[in-house]
Amino acid sequence: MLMGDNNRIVFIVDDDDAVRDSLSFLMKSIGIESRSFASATEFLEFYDDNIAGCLVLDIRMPGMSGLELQDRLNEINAILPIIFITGHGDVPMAVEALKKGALDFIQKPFRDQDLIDRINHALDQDHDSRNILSEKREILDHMDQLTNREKEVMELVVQGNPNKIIAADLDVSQRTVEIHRARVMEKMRARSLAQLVRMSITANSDP
Amino acid sequence: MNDTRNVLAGMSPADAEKHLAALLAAAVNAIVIIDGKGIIEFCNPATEKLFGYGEGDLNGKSINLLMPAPDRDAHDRYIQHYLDTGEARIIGIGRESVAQRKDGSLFPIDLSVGRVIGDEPRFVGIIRDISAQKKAEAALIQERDRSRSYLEVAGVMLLVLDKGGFIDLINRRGCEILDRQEEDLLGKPWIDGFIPENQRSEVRKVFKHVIEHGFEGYETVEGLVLTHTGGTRLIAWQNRALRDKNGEIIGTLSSGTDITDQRNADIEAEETRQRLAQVSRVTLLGEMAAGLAHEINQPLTAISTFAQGCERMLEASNSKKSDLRNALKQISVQAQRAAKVINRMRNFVRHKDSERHEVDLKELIHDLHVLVEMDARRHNINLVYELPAELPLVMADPVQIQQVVLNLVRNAVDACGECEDRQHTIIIRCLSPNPETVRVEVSDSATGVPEDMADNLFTQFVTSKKDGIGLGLSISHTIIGAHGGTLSFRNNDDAGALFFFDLPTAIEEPEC
Amino acid sequence: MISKSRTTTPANRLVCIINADPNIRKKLGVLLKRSKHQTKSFASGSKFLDKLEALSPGCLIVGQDLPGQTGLEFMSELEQRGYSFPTILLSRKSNVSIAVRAIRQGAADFVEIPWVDRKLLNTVDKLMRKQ
Repeated sequence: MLMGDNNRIVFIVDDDDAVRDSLSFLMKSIGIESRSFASATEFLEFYDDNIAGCLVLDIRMPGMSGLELQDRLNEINAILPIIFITGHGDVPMAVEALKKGALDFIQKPFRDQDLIDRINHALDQDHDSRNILSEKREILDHMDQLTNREKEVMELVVQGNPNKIIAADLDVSQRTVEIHRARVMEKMRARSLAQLVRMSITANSDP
Repeated sequence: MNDTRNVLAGMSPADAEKHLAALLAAAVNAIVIIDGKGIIEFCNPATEKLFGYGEGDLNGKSINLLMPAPDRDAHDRYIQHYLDTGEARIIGIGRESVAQRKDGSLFPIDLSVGRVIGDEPRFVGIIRDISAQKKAEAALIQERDRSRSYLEVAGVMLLVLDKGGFIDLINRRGCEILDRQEEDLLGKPWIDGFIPENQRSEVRKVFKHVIEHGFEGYETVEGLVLTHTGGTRLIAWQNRALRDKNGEIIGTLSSGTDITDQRNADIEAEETRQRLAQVSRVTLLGEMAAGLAHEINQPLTAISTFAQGCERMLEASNSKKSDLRNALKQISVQAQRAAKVINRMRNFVRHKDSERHEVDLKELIHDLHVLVEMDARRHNINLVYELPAELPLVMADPVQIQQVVLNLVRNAVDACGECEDRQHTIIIRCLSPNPETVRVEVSDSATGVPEDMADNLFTQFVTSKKDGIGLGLSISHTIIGAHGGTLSFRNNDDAGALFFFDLPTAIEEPEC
Repeated sequence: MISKSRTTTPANRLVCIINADPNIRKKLGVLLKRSKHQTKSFASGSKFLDKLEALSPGCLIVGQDLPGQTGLEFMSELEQRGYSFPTILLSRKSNVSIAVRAIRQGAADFVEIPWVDRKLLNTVDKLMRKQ
């Protein structure tokens, strides 16, 4: 929603020049834009979470390691999905990375198709996350426009209460509830009660 | 008995009566005659003495007087029952019972009762005081129980076999080891039931020897026993012959200790020892393999990725010639990179079994860099080489010297790894302080050698590492010593430790 | 008995060891009992399932090599039957792709043999506390 498909970028972070170059060459061969970085620090300097894409990350690098970079991205709730690549059959590291939310962990050397499949999967996931996030932001923006009383009415409406009960609850007339309710639907751009309920669920979901 | 009767029968009634009276008076046991209602018609002096009555006191009294409740209350019924049915419960049988003295005290007796032949029902009772016998029995039982409890608490398995090899006794520990109940064991043939088949003939030989020759040595014999679940335990046995009081062998007594766990532990200890002996070799080769894998994996990954990218570009026919050319060039560069790594490794390995010869230490150290960098990279440590352009040669076994250097660097890496609060630097330096000596130094920026370890740092099994075994420095020390050099250390002024060794330079051939 | 064990406090929950190797079962049992966990061992996934009704597992330590199926397959089987227990997958093979699949499939941890006692205990402690 925020970004078109054309704007997604595969970020490649690997300290080995040859591996890094070969990865970006592979991306080019399948028409996916990529950007490569020789260290985690370089990547962090550039990084902006508004750019859609995914991260292909070498786990062992001098300076900041891949796992440390993952920690930093987690701290700022970054959306970017991470695919770790490693030259070592390092099981404990793979387990740790996945537990901390990495999307995948693959070993060098890999079959190009395996990597491409994973990258496509990561890009899809990133796309979905961003859609959900932007939808949520929009809903929250709309909710900000509600008055406190309207927020109360919305809460009671999505809980499934009829106007009569809401009126009694808030100690106002049914007519007043009807007016509030109409304003809520209008401000939230909701065409039906079902849609309003969905919005409420999305607004309350985890980031 | 018949003889007595015959003797009495042949006498005149008066003589017989006199004989009888004498017999009764002399009898040690109490003898009482009662009628069909239980009234005492006669009792001998022993009766009065035994029960604590005066002479004649008992005559005409009920026999019930001599017994405690409940027999006392039931006795009349016993007699009546006999008279009614003729069913004898005690007559001609005899039994142990309890009697009561005049003062009320009780004592155990052996009672035999007979019916006196005649028209009127009349019974004779002979009462024997068995207090002493009972006491002895109780003592014996106690003794037996005590012995038994000794057997039961014994930490070893105790096993008694009879001459036929059947189990006569087995203690609790024995049952535990075999994981069986005592009743499932007693009377069973030991060898056929509880020894693994392949060991039976051997055990039979030992058993036969003990039974036949009374072998009484204390030699320990090890053997397996079968447990209930079909498993085996390893037992260390001591066997002795068991003799009766005439010295005849009547069986065997064996005590066994379960040494299964101990033996397993011994095996593990031996394995550990063997592992330790291999440690230095394995560490080096293992590290080398890991280093090799990493160093070669990188160019291989690049090669395969470039090649696959080329393929895709050609298929999609969106290829720019310059892109493809560049990728192919990269492929050949990376292939050469891989070949170089392999060559370096080959050189390293080729020298493995060679003897000492002239070597250039800085080249030796350079060849190590793959392994060393692996470690340093893992801990984010700066690695600095200070190698002079020219260095005198030394006589050395290159592999051994490389092991020492690698060991020193690994120690430094480990030391730095244990205090990760700051960026660390390890310096590997070669120098020649004088024309006779070449020195190699490895300096780190960790916490240095703790004072309490400084004195015995080169001793085996001394280590400050959390999971170290303390062999590396000791081996290194030995290697350098064997090369006529010295391995020493000192703590740096600012931070960390400096380990260094000196080797004598090779003496140049005199020019002709 | 069943209902009783189901309502027991976390302290009474079992660490269930499911492994084909009797030595591993024994070693794990000793290790866990020493740190006050109650354990029950099973030689196969089906043996565990047979007894499951009467058990109250706090977590499972599952071997990757089970008779007739892999540990991963057993985990899927449990999931299909509607069970979800915190599970540690134990594997003799150091294999990144199995590890990745295990974690993806919801394993709490993937541990290689030989394991490090202290680390394994920490993981088990954590799983048992969470409940």
